[in-house]
Amino acid sequence: MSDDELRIHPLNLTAQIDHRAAGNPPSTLPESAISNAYPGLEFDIRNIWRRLLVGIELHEADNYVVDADADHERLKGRRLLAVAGHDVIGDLVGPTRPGADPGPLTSAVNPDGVMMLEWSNSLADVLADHAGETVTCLFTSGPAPNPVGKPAKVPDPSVEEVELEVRSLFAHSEAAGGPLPVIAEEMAGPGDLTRGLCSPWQNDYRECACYYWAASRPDYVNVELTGLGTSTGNHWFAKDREPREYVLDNRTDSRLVSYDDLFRDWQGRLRFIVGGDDAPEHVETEPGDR
Amino acid sequence: MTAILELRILPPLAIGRLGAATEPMDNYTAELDPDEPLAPRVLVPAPTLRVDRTSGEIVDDEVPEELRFTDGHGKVKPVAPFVEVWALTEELVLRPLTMELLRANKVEPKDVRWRTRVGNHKIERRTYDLKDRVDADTGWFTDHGEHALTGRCANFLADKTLPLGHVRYIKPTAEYPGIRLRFTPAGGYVYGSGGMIGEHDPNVVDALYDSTKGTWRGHVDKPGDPRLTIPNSIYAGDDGPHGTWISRGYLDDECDGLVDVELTVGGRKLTAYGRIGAGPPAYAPDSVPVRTIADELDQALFGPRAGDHDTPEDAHKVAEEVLRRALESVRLMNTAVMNGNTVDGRVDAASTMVRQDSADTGRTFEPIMAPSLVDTAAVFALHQDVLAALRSGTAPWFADVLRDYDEVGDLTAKGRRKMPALMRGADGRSLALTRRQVDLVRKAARQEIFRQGQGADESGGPG
Amino acid sequence: MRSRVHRHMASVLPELFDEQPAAMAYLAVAGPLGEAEKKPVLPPEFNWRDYTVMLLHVAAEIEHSLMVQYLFAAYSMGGPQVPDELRKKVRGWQEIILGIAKEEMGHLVTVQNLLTSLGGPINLDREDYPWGSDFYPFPFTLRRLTRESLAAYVVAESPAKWTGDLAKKVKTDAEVATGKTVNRVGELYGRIDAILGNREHIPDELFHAETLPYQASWDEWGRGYTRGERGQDAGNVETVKSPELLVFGVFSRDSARKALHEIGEQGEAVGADEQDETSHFKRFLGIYAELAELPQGKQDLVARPIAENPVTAHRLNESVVVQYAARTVTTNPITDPGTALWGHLFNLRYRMLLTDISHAFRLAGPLDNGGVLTGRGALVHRAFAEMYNLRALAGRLVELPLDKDKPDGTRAGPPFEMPYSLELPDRDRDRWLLQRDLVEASRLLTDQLLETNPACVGDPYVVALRESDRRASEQIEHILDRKGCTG
Repeated sequence: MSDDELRIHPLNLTAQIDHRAAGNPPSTLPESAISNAYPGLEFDIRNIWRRLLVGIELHEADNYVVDADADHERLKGRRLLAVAGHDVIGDLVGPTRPGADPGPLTSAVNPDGVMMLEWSNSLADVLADHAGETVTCLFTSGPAPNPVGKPAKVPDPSVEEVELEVRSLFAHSEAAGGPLPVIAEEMAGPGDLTRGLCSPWQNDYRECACYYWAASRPDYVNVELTGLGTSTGNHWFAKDREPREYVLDNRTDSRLVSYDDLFRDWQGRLRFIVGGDDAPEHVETEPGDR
Repeated sequence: MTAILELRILPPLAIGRLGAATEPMDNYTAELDPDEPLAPRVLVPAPTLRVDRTSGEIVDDEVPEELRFTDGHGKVKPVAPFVEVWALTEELVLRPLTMELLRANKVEPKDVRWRTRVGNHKIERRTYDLKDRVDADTGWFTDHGEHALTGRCANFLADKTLPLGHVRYIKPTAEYPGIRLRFTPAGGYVYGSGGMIGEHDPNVVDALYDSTKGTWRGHVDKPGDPRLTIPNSIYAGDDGPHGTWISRGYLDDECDGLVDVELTVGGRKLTAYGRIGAGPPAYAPDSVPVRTIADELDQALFGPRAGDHDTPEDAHKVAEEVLRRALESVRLMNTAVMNGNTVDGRVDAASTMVRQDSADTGRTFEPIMAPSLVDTAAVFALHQDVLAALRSGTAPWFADVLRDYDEVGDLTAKGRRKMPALMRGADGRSLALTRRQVDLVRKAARQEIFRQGQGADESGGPG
Repeated sequence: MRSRVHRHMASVLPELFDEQPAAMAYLAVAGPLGEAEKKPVLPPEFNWRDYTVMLLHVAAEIEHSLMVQYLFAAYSMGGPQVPDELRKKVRGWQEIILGIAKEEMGHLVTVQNLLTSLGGPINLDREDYPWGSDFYPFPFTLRRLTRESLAAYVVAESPAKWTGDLAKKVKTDAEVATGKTVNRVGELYGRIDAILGNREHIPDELFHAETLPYQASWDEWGRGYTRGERGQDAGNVETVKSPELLVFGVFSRDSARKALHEIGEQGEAVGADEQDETSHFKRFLGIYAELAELPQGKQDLVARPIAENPVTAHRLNESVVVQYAARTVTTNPITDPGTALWGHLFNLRYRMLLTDISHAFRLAGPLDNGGVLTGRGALVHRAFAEMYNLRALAGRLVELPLDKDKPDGTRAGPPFEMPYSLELPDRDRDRWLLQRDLVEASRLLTDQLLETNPACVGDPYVVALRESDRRASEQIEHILDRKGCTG
C-alpha cells in the first residue's frame, strides 16, 4: 500500500502505538519490550510515574518521596501510602518454615511487613479517574527511610493527608481534543527511561538470572526430550552446546559466559534463538572455538 | 482541502537495539502457522528499506532471502527504527506526511526541521551528581546527512564523548515520498573511567570518565539509602569491605530521548515529538514477553478496567495472546530450576524467585510449584494444551488463577502459584499482569458461553 | 441394572432390602445396623480392611458420578437464548456449579489416596448410564440444568436433618427429576469413618505412609484452588468465589479420618453449621432459590435445549429405555454423523483423562524438593489438559444437533461414556503403549473431522488438538524408545 492510502483515526491511539513504520521489524515496537521490569531491558518504564503528582517526585520503584518543590519540601523523605483511596502498598505474608501457617513477613527494616505495589497498577485508577484533578494523598507524617504500613484508621498521628494534583501521563492534542499516544515530555525527559537500568546493561544480563525476561533473554535453549519424557537442553550462556545439559548458573561456572566475556564481546558470545534453538547462523560455528 | 492541523510522530515510541555491524537489521514479520498454531511464530523476511549512505535516500525495499541477526563476523546488526511524520488533516484523519501533502500545503521537505535529544543518566541515577549526566543534542537540522548523537558529560575527560548512535532525516523521493527519520543506535560498547586502570582495562574500548572529577569509579551504593535503585548495586563492580560493591566506573552506550519535528504551515508552527530508546537485542525475536511496554501504555490510556468498547472477541484475543506469550516464555525457561527444585542434590542452585522471596522477606525457602510438575517439557505441553482449548472459543477458565496486582505480597504456597509464576515483576515480587490484561481475560470468561457458533478466529502475532 | 456391589449394601442401607426378607435373613446373622450404638457391622465374605476398600470404591464411584453430572449440567448452561438480563446470573450459576464439580474432583482424588494408603487398588470406574446404585443418591442421568435436576443435587448434598417448607419443596422437585427419594452421600462417609475410627477393625499398620509419594497431593492437583491468606478469591465471575480444592495425603488413621471429614463437610455442611455458605448444599440451594423465583418460561431458557443422556451408540437409532424406580430414564443416540464424531472424540479424551490420572498414581513423585523427575508431572498436566479439552469439546457438543434429521432440533451435549476398561497394564512400558494407542486414536478422529466434515475444515481447535497430539506422541515415543539422553 502506498503511503498516500494509509489512514488512522486520530483517536485510535492503539493503532498509533502499534504502528509499524515501513521497514521496521517487530523488535522496534513497544510490544517487543519487556515491562515486567526489574528494572527492565529496553526501558525502566517505572520512571514514567515519578512525576504523576504535582509538587513531588517519587522513587521509580518505591513509595518514597525523593524530591519535592518548595511548597511541599516537608514531604521529601516521607512515604506515600494511598492516593485517592487506593493503597499503594500491600502486605507481605507467608510461612517462615515449611508447612507453617502463613503470617506477616516482618523484619527489623520492615517491621510492618509491607511492600510497595508497582505504580503502573496501583496508580492506574488514579490516572484513569483523576487526571487533572486534585486528590487526597496519604503520607507518613515524618521521614520514613524504611517501609511503613498504613494505620487502621485515618486520621492518625502517624500519617498526614495532603491534597495534590494528578498530571496526565500523555501529551495532549489540541486539534483532536484528547491524549496523544506519546508520554508527555514533562513526565520523562531524555535519559529518564533508561536511568534505572544496569550500568552497563550487561551487568544485569547475567546476574539477574532470567526469571522475568525469558522471551527477550532466553535461559533454556536447544531443549530436547529425554527417555524419561522430561527435558534437557543448554543454558543460553553455555559456551559449548555439547554436552547438552543445563549448567546451573552459580555466577562462577567457567562453562558459562562470564561478565568479562560480556563486557568485551557480548556480540560474539551471545546467540540469537529462533524456535527455541540456536539460530542457524550460530550453528555453523565449530564447537570449542568460542 | 488537505490543510494540516497537527503533526504526530509514529510510532510514538520506537525501540532501537544495539549492535556494531555496519548494516542494520533487516525487516521481518513474526507470523503464526495456521497448520501448526502451537508452534513458535515463524520469522518471515519482509521488505527492507535500504538507505544510501551518501544521499540519505531510500534506494530499494527488497525482501532479503534469509534472515540474519549478525554480520557473520561476530557483530550484531543494530535495529535502526524509522519514525514517520503523520499529519492530522482537516478531514480529521491521520495520514503520512509526504512530499505531495507538503506541496499541497505549500511547503517543501527542507522546511521540515528535526532535532533529537537523548541521554544516558545511569551514572547520575546512582551518584545523584548532575554532572554525571550524559546528554546529546543534535540541535535543529533540515539536511539528510547523519547527525551523530554525541554524549557529553561534565565529568568526562577532556575531549572525550560517548557515541550514542546517530539520526538521519531520510531524503524523500518520488518512490518513497514519506517524511521520516531513522535512528541508528550505538555499537554496544562498554566504556571505562580514566586515571589508574581504565586505559588498560581489556573490558572497555575507551576510558571516558574522569575519575578525578567525579565519583563513579569507586562508587558504592550506600546500604540503607532509600533513594537507591531497586534492585541496588546493579553496576559493574567488585566486592569491597563489609559486603559493599565498588563500581569499576563502567558505562554503556544505551540511551533514550525525544525526536522533535517542526514545520511551519501557513504561518502556524506545528510541532510534534516521539520517543526513541536503545536497548540490547531481542535475542528470541519470535517471542513476546507476557507483559510488555505496549500493555503499560494500553492500561495508562484506557484505564485498568475493560470497557464497553472492548468487545468479547477482543477480550478473547487478549486471553489467547497472554497464553501464547506465556508459552513462549516457558519454552525458554528451565522451569525446574526456576521453581527452586533441588537439582542434582544442589539446593538453591540458581538465582530464582524462590531465593528472592527468602532473601527479601525471610519467607521459608521452598519450591513454588510441586517439584514433580515443573519440568519444562511438561509445563510447556500444558501451556500448549491450554492454548489449544482456548482456540475452541471456550471461555477462558483460568482467570481466577491470575495474580491480582495487589496480592503480589501473598507469599503463601497458593499465592506464589498464581499466574504468571516464577517470574519477577516491577515491584520485586511475583509478576502480575496489568490490571487491564487481567480484566480483559475476565471479561472473556464472563461472556463466551452465550455465543453461538464455532471457534475463535485466527489471530496473528506481532506484525 | 444392579451393580456387583449391590448385594453387599445391606450392611449400610438395610432399608434397600426391606422387601427382600430372604436376603435379610442371612444378613441378620451378620447383623445389619446396630441402631442403638451405630456400630458398623461386617457383612459376609469380607474382613474389615477389604470391606473398607469396597466402600471406598463405592465412594469413588459416587464422587466421580456426581462430578460428571454436575459438569454436564454446567456445560448445558448458556447459549444465545438466555435473555440479556439473566446472563450475568446464569454465568455466575455456571461458575458455581463448575466450582463444585472441581471440588468433587478433589474428593475423588482424595478417595484414591485413601485407597492407596490402605493398599487397595484405585478406582476411577463408574457404571455407564442409565444406572442406579443403591448407595448412589439418585439414578445417574446426564441432564441439562433445570429446577428439578438442581433440586436433586441439593438433596444429594443435604445435611442429615434438613427439614422445613423449603426442604419439602426441593425434595418434591427432586423426585420429579429422579423418580425416587434421593439418598444422601454423607451416609457412606459416616460408615467408612466409623470403621476407620476403630483400631480393632483397621490396625495402625494398615495405613501405609510410604505410599505418600504415589498419592495425589494438593500441590500437584490443587492448581492454586484453595482458601488463601486473603480468604477465598474472587473467581472468573466477580460475584462467585473460586473453588477450594481439597486433596489430602493419607499416612495414618488420623489423616484418613481428617480427609473424610473435610470432604464430607465440603459437601453437605455437616452438623449444625448449616449457615456455612461454602458447602455444596448451600451453593446449590442458593442457585435453586434464585432459579425458582423466575417464571417457568424463563427457567427453561437458562440452559441450552440438549438431550438427556446423549450416547454415541454404534447401532444408531436405538434408544435404551430403562425403568428406574418410578422414573423412565432414556438414552438419546447421537445420529447426526458429524456430531457423533465430536462425541467419540469427547469419549476418547475422557478416557485419556482417566488413564492419565491412574497412570500418574503408578509413578512416584520426587521424595524431596526435586531429584530426578519422572513422567508423573507430565501425566498430571495432561490430565488437566484433558479436562480443558473436555470443556472445549462440550462447548461444541452443546451447539451441535443430536438428530441427523432435525438440524434445528435438540442439541447433543457431551456423552461422558465410559471406556471398556480402565485397567492399566502391569508393566510401565505397556502403559505408555496404551498412551500411544489413545493418542493415535485421537489423531484418527481429528483427521476424520478435518477431512470429512466440511464444517470442521480448518477448525482452529481441531487443528491445534491434532498438533498437540503429534507433540504428545513424540514424547511418548521418546519414552518407549528410551531415546535421547536419560538425564
